[in-house]
This record gives sequence, structure tokens and C-alpha cells, in this order.
Amino acid sequence: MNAADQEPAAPPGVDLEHPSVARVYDFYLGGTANWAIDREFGKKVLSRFPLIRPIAKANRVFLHRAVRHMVRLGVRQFVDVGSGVPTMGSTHQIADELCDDARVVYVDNEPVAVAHSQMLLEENGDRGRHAAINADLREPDELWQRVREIEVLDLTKPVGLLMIAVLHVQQLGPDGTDMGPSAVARFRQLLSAGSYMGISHVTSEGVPADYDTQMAELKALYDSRSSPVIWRTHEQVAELFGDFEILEPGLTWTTLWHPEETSRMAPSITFATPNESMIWAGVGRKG
Amino acid sequence: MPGTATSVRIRLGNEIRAARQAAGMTQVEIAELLGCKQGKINKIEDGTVAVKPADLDVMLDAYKVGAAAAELMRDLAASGDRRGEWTGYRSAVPTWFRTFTNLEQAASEIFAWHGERINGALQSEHYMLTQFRAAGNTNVTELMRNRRDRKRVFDLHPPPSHRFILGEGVFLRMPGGPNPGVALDQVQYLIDMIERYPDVSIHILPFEARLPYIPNDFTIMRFTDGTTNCAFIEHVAGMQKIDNEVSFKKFVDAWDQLRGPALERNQTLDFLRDQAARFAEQLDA
Repeated sequence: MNAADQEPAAPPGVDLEHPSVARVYDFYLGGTANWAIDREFGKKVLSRFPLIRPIAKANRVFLHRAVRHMVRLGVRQFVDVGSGVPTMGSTHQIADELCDDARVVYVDNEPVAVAHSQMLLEENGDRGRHAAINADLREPDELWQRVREIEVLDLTKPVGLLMIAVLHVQQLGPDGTDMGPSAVARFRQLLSAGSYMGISHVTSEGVPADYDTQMAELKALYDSRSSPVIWRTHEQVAELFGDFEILEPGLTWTTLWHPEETSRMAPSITFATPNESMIWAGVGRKG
Repeated sequence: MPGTATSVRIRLGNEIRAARQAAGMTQVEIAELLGCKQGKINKIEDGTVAVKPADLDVMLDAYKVGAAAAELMRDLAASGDRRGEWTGYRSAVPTWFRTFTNLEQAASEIFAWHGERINGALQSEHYMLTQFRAAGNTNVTELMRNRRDRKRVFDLHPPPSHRFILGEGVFLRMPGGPNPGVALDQVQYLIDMIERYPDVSIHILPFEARLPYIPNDFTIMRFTDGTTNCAFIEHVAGMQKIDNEVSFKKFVDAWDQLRGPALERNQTLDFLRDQAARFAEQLDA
């Protein structure tokens, strides 16, 4: 199945006007897939909230640790939803460090991000094991069907579903409210037994006191100029896992989640206290 | 050694045409001998289609080509089957454009002049997508793939020498109308190109230049692999290739005329940085 077949007949209109969350994230991580509008927006955010950069890096490092951990637990299939533009170590590259049979499907609903992922896979991916598709997490059944049709994963077997730093971007439903949690609930049903789910999410609970103003400004910037965002409490993030069994050490700050899974080549990120990393994260398993 | 399968075909086509003309035969006459149409002979001589070895033998015989030349042409015909042809452009662009981009990959020197638009090889991703979206093309992956393939020309070894003259107007006219975001992105991209690729020169031609008039956009290509030097002008219905020696020289002269008053590297960088500051301010407003 070639790349052209992986796109819907008429992709949703490309937004060429607003900074995209994925490309701005790429800018924070020192990538080159960002445009001037993303850089200008990112610089504005950095000027108000300089720790955004290490926060973004710590989030990326969590993704790497989660993938490694899941591979060690036997997971060989991954669906990376809201994968954005490939930056600083992608899921398939991390998995391929530890095993040679991991299969990865990248999913994003933004055509430029999908194009970047497809091109990255053309350069250093394996057509039999890796793919990138355009699908929207607000339509879990359709997304799952697209993944099925790509014929890279066997969805009847356990899958590692990754929703890293995507659910704090508002997933606006037809009624204009965020439908992230209900979409995730459907994914929990769709996943086969023995599957895993990794989530990272910005939280305003338990962060340093001086974060209040900065996070308010951060939200205001994203809401007005990029994509509207939503912060969740620890309990609200936990609810996303439903009755999945949360792996040790439970949900915690990105920097505290299985630090032993960090590669020697990971950037060193130092926060004065773990809660400065601002992102609540963990992995759950479906019984 | 010819660079790509296409430039091999073009070179072979040139040799075939030269041999035919030396023998005083017309395309119609050889077409009759081969039992095909004149158009096909033309395509063979243009290098757009490959010539079958059996057909080549008929030609070599009819044109009474000497043994050495015949061997060379047979070699060229055989090596034209080699993989290595750049197949970057696919259905997103018309066929006539593929000739241009194939030659671009094989050229040793490229000179291009553009007055009001950034030419394809220099477009930033945001500029390129905006341009195609404004023109109604939304196949994002295909467009980005084409652009990436096209940019590979800057990473070839040895790198061809690329010289671009861009009129000041290219920054005033953005695809789809005024757009400081796209303009800033494009300016930053050009600055990066200049700093990153020593074999790429970009010279801005300011409006103040004391020229009697400016020519339409054109691209000149020079080759060291036997392909005839040529110029290209792109127009709304396609692209015209000019490889007549006298006309080609006029394009080279026109280039020199523009190059004189165009800004040098450091002045161009200063100009671009000023533009960047201007567009950043507009974006912020």
C-alpha cells in the first residue's frame, strides 16, 4: 500500500495561518520542521515561560522511556496518536533500538505533520512495519479502522497506544466542547486485552506556586493564537485510564517516570523540583 | 560521465540528430525506414523517449555512422537503462516540468533570474504550500515530497554551482496576497540557504538598479556531460527550452546585465535581515 493510499480523498483543509502545536513543539525541541509563525509564537511563549523548553524535552524523554518500558514488557505494536512532526527520536526509532520486530503506526490529523512522518519513514523506516496516516482521534472507530486497513498492525493482539501531550489540546466535538475523555474511553474499549496506554498531560495541580501566572499566560497564548488547550487535575488524568491497571510508579511527573529507562544519549534536563516539569504521565494496562 | 538516465538520453538524442543531419536525411525519411511516425523520431532526438537498440542499429546504418561513433551511441543507449534517474516528480506536476527538473539534477551550473516570485528550488515549505493551496492543490504529502526531492540538487556531489538573482519584488508579492508570516519564513529560509551552502549564491536586485528594463524570468543550465547548454523560460502554458547557441548566449548576456547591479553576498544578507525584521514586526502587530 503506497503512501498516497494512506491519505483520505480530501484531507481536512490545511491550516497555513496559525502556529501549530506540533510545529511549535518541534521548535522547542530544536527541530527544523517549524515555520516562522511557529518560531515567533514559540519565542513569545519562551519569553514568558523559559522553562517550556526543558518541559517539552522532559515530555519527549517520557515518550522514549514509555516505549522502551513497553517493549521490555513484550509490546511489539504501537499506535502513536497525535504524533506531530518527527523530532528528537521517534517512536519507531526508539523501539528499533531494543528489538527488530516492533511495528508502529503514526497518526495525526494535521496534513503537514503526517507528510513529515511519511517522508521520515521513507528515509529510514521499514515499509513492512511502519506507517503514518491521517486520522482524527475524535473519531476512534474510524481511526482504528484506518489503522486496520494499513495492515501493519494486528489489532487483535496487544497494542501500545500512545497519547503523548495530545489530550491537553482541546479535542473539540460538534457541540464545541472538549471530547477527549469520551474518545479515550472508546479507545479503551477498542484495545484488545493485554494492551497498554501511555498518556502525558499538562496539569496545573501540584505545580510550583509561581507557575500560576505563567500557565495562565501560556493558556492565553495558545487559546488565542494556536489551538485551545485544557489543563487537567491528577484525578482527571487518572480517569482517562478508566479501569486499566496503572503500572508502577503510578501516574507521576514526566521526570520521575522510570528514569532508569533513559538512554545515555538523552539530553540532560534539570529541574529544581520534579513538579516543574508540569506534565503528569504514566502507562496503564488493559486486563 | 553523464549524470542521470535522462541526460544520457538527451546526449544520445543530440548525437542521433547530428548524425541524421550530417547524412542529409529528414526525420520523416528515417521514420519511414523504421515504420514509425516522425513525432517519435523527434522525441528520440529530444531525449524524451529511449531508442530501442534495434531501431538505433537501423539509424546508424542509414546515417552511415563511423564505427567509433556507433559504438559510443550504442553504449549510451545501453547505459540509459540504468537506474539513477531522478524520479522525484510524480503526478503533481505536468510532464513538461519533469524535463526541467531532470536536467536540473545533471547541470554543473545553474543561473536563474526571478523578478516577482521565488523559484521552486528556493521556496520555503510554508511558501510552497501557500502557493499551491492558493492554486487549489491540496495534496500536501505529494507536494512536500516533490519539494524535498528537488532540494536534493543542493546536496549533490560535486555540488553544481547555483546562482540566483531575485528581484526585490519577490518579497512584496506573496502567494495568495500579503502575508508577513510566509514572507518572514521565506526570508529566513533564504538566509539559511546562503549560510549553509557555499555553492549557492543569492543576489537581490534592488528596484534602484539602473537597468533600462528587466527581462522575464529565466533559468540557464550548463553541463559538462555533453548535454547541450540550455535556457528555460516558464510561461502559463508550459516551459520553453532554448538550446540554440545564439539565443543561449543572449540569455547569458542578460544574466550578466542583471548580475552587475545586483547586491553582493553581504549586502544581500543585510537586505534579507532587514526584511526579516520588517516582516516580524508586521506579524507581531
